[in-house]
Amino acid sequence: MNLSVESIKNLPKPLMASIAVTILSILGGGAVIFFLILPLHVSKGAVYSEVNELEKTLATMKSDIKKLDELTKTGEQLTEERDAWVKTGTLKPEALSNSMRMGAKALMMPIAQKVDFKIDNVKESPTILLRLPATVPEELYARQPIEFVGQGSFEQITRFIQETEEKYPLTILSGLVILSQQQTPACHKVVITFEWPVKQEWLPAGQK
Amino acid sequence: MSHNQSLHFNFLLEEERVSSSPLRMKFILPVLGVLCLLAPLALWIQEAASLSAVASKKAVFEAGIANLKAHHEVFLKKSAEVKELTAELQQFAFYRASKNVVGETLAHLTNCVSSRIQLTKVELLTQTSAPFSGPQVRPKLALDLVKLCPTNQMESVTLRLSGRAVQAGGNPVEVNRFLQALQGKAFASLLDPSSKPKITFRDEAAAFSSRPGEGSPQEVVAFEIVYECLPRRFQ
Amino acid sequence: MLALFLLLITLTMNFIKMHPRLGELFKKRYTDVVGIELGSGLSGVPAIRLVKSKSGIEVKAIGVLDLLDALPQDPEASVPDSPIWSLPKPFCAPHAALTVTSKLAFLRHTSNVGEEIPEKKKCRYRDIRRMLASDLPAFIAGLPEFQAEWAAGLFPEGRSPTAASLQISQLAVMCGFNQHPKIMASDEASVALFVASHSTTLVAFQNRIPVLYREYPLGASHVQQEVATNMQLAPILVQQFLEDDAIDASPYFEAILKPLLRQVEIMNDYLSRRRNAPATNFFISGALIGSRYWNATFKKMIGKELIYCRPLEGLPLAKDAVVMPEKLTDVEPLFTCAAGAALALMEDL
Repeated sequence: MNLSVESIKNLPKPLMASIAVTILSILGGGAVIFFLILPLHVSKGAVYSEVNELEKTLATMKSDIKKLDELTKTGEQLTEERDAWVKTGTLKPEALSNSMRMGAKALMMPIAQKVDFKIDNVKESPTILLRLPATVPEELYARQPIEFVGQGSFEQITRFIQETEEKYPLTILSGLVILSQQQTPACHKVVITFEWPVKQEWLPAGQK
Repeated sequence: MSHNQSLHFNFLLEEERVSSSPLRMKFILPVLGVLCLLAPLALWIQEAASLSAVASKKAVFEAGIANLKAHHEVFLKKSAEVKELTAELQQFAFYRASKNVVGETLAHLTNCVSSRIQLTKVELLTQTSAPFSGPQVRPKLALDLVKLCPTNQMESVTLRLSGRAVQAGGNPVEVNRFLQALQGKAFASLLDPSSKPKITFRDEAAAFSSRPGEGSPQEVVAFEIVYECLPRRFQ
Repeated sequence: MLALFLLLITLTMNFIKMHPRLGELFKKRYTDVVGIELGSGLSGVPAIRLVKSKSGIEVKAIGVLDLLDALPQDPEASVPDSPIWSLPKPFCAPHAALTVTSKLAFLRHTSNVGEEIPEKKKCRYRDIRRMLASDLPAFIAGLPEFQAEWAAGLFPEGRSPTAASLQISQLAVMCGFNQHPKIMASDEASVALFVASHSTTLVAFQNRIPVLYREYPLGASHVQQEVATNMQLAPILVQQFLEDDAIDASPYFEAILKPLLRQVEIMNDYLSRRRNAPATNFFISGALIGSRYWNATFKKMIGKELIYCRPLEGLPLAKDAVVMPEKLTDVEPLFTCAAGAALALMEDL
C-alpha cells in the first residue's frame, strides 16, 4: 500500500476540505506578509528616517534663526574690521594707470621726500598668494612685492624703512640690498622690496 | 490469514469514527488558518495607519521647514558671510604676523661698524615662495587652488654683510668686534640667536703700510658675514 | 505557524493510523464507554456506562433510555436522515459502544476464504472474517450496510458520546461473557448458553476462545409460552407462578428444554473427542424464566451443575452511579448486550 499518497487520499473529505482551507489561508497570509507588509515596513523605515532627519533639520533651523541677530552683529563687526584693513593696509592701484607700481610709488613718495631718500625707480614683482586658512575664502589676498630702487645715505635708507614700517603697519620689508658706491661713499645705491597685501585678481573664466 | 483472538468485531468504518470534542481539528485548522490570514491583514492595516501617521508628521515638519526657509536662508547667507570675513581676516592675520620690524634694527648697524671696517654691501633677503607665473583664472577645484598657495608657514630670512676690514698680522680683530656687536640686544629682534654666523675672508689685492706708530704692516681683508635671521612666520 | 504545526500533526497522526504497526502503538485506550443496544425490542434503549479506574471497572450509569429505537429492518424502509440521539448527561461518556440486535445480522463458522455469503444477495453487508486460532475454522460476522449506516449516524461529531464501536449482539454477549469473573477464573473448556428472547446461542469455549458456535431457535419467550399453555396461565404470570415452591413445573421444562440440552451434549462431545478437552463448566446467562428449573433439568440430563452468570457480576456500582431501574437485579439481563459491547471496546487489546 502506498502510504504517502494513499493516506492523504483516504482522509475524510471534510478534513481534506479543512486542510485545503487552512493551506490556502496560510498561503494567503504569507502573500500578505511578503507583498504587503514587508514593502510597507521597508518604506515605513525610510519614512521614519526621513522624519527624523526633518525633525533634526527643523530644530537646527530654529536654533540657527535664534542666533541670527547675534550673527548679524558679528558680521557687521567683522566687515568693519576687514574694511578697515583693506582701506588702510592693502595696496591699491593708481587710479589713472591702474598700476600697483604707481600706486605704491604714490604711497611712498611722501615718506621718501620726508627723509630725503631718492627713489629712482619702482618695479612691480609678481604677487605671491598668502597661505590659506582652514576655510578657503572667496576673496583671496596675496603679497605684492614692489621694488624701490633709490639712493641715499645709510641713515636716510634706514629712516625710510623705519618711517614706512611705522606709518603702514601692513607694509613689510621683504628684501634689502644696499651697495656702497666708490664714487660717492656717503650715498649708497639701494633696492628695497616692500610687500603689501593686495586683493588677488583673477582672470575671467575661460581666459588664459 | 493470521489469527486474532479478539471477539471484538467492529463494523464501524474509519470515516464514521468522529471526535466528541467540540474542538474538532477540521474546525480548528481552518479557524487558525483564517487567523493566519487575518492577523497579517490586521498587522498590515496597523502598519499602514502607522505609516499614515508618520507621513502626516512628515508633512508637518516639511511645512515648518518651508515656513522657516526664508529666514534660515538669511541665516545661512549671514553665516557664509561671517565665515568669509573670518577667513579673509585670517589671511590678514597670517600676513601681519609675518612682519619682522627691520628699520630700527638696521639703524643700529652704523654703531657697530668701526672706522677700520667698511661695509660694501648689506643684503637682507627673504626666501619667498615661488610667485605666480602670471595672472590666471581662479581654479575651480579647491585642491587646485591649494596647490597654488604656499603651504609653508615660515620663510627664512638671511642677512649678508659684505665689507672690508683693516687688520694687522692676520688677526681679524675688527671683524670680531663687529661680530660681537651684532650679538647685542639691538639685533635680537632681527638675528636668530640660535644660529652662528658664517664668516668668510678674502685677502684684498692691495696692502698698505701702517700709519706711523702702529708697528706691523696693515692689511685689508674682505669679509662676508652671513647671518640667519628670525624667519617670517605666517601663523 | 500554529495552524501549520497543527496541520502537520493531523497529517502525521493520520499517517500513523494508516500504518499497521505504528497504529498499534498509538492505539487509543478507552476508559469511559457507554454501551448501547439497538434493536432490543424493548420500549426504550438499554444503556450502561462503564468507567475504568485504577481499582477496576465500575458502573457509572445504567438504565433503559427513553429514545425511539427505530432500527430499520428493510433497506427500502430506512429513513434518509438518521435521527440524532442526545443522551442524558449521566450517560454522556466520550465514546459509545453500539451493539445491534438484528435478525439480518449473522455470525457463523466459515471454512473457505472465498465462500459466498447468501445474505448479500438481498442487500449490501458489512462483513468481517476472522480466524481466532490456527486450528479452528474462521468466524464470519455480518451486519447489513443500511443498519450499520443508520447506527453510525446516531451520534454526531462534536459532542459526547460518539460511536467508537459497532458490534452485533451475538459477539457483544460473548465478549461480555469472556470478561465475567467466573470465566476469568477458569481457563479450561466450557460450554455457555446465552438465552435470548427467541433463541439461545450455544458456544463451546476452550481457553476462552470460542471453538464451536451454534444458534438454536428456542428462547425464553418460547419457554414462557409453553409453560403458560401447559399450566393454562397468562404468560405474564408464569414467572411469578414458577417462584412458588409448592408448584412443580419440571415436566414442562424437561419437555421443552430437552432438544436444547441435547445440543449441549453434542457440544460437550465435540470438545471431548475433537478437542480432547471435555467441558468442565457449563454456564448460562440471559433472561431466564424459572432459573431453578433450568438448573434441575440440566443436572438431570447432563449430570452437571449449570452456573448462572449475572451480566453485571464483577462490575460494582460507582459511588455516584445513576441507576434508573428501581430493582436492578430483576432487569439485569436486559443490559447483557450493552455491557458486553462496552467491555469489548474497553478490553480490546
